[in-house]
Amino acid sequence: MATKLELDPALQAVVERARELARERGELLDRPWTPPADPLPEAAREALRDWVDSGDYDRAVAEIVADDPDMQAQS
Amino acid sequence: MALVVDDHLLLDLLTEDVRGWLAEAVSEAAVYTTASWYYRVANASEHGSGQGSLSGRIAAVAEPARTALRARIARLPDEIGLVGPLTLVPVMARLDTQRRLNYLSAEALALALLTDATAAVRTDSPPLRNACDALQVEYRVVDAP
Repeated sequence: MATKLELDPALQAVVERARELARERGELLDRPWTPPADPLPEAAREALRDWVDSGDYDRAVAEIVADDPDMQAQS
Repeated sequence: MALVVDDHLLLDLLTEDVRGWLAEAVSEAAVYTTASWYYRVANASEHGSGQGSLSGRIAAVAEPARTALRARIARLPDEIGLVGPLTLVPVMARLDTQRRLNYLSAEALALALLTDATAAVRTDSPPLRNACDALQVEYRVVDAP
């Protein structure tokens, strides 16, 4: 089994502190993903899927990124 | 085990269209996304040009599916974790990567570190991939279903 290398101790300390805060704030999930309890109606799923498959979602994201490079998937 | 998913994989989960590697992975993993990736989905749904916006398509969907679709974007299901900036920003600020990461990449890497997760993306980002590699965070590009 592969062993993870140690993080830089200063970064490790910040991560540990953040993990502790996330736990206190209830931000950590304790279970695997399951489909949402309230499934989408088929017509809604189709509209969402078609939005993505048509490329319209990527075009809309390109508009967002053009104004805000911090929202870009860096290349 | 945990996964941090990008906006495209988030959309797969929101549409419950989960197959292949992603289906196997999520059956064993808590799933998180970042505020930036969620913002891309939510903002694109409202502000894409003309028919490019999801809101334009939503208008053509009959009730009650229309309301369900609006609600799905407006509020992420509880099954998808989101960690806020109060928690994540100190980790993002501490990252010291070979190439400076933008907000979106830094947030993804910090979240993957915090949740000890695999960063799973559909759109490969070499700077994020390299930063994950340097910090021993598993990084995976997931093909479209």
